[in-house]
Amino acid sequence: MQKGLINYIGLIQNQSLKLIVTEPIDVCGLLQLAHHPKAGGIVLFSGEVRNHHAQKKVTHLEYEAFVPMAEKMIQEITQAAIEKWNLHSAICVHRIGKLDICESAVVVVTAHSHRKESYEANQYIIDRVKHEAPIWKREFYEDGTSFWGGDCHCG
Amino acid sequence: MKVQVFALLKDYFNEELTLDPTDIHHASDLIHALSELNPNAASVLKRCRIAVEMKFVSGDYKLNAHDTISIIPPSSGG
Repeated sequence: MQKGLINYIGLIQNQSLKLIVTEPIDVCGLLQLAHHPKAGGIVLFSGEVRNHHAQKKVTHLEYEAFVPMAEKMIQEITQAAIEKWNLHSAICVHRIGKLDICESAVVVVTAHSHRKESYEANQYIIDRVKHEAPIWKREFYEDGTSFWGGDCHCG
Repeated sequence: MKVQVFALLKDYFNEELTLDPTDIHHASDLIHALSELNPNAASVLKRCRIAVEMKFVSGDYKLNAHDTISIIPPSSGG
């Protein structure tokens, strides 16, 4: 097993890297964790809170998760991507609780020898996490209303 | 039979429910029972998945009275 994977899996196993967090995600720290001497292309995706949805002004979001199941599924999904693309490393961390505009809700980092595989694997991970993991978003609007769920534009 | 619900389902049910398992044999029976308990939740429940011990199961899955069952609304992470 390569260095990046040993680091990532080891950190999960000793619980120093939580896959579901309540504090702001250390985006740069996750990128640092993904560096690998064989990786020529690292892709980092940050899913962030935008200030609008369906012509309504969004003030903030709240995320909820079935934490143990979501962590298990994120680990399974990243492992599937590692095997499918032979990645040097793959990391996915999702935040829950209240998030303000511009904050990162989810970060996915993928590292491969070449960028094509890193891009493809990164999209695979975020699409599956969004659609399959037991994590839910509630949007709060400026007019005082709120809505569970949200549009997904990944087709 | 212990059932936990999440997200928008908490607008319709307590977060943790204990149901009489007498008429709940399969996972699909549980959705039916919850829909009868609160008909307003029926359309939401139709779109939910069921997990037993943190694994998704199909409607014909045979439930055990001692299972911990989770009703999982459509995911909207990211």
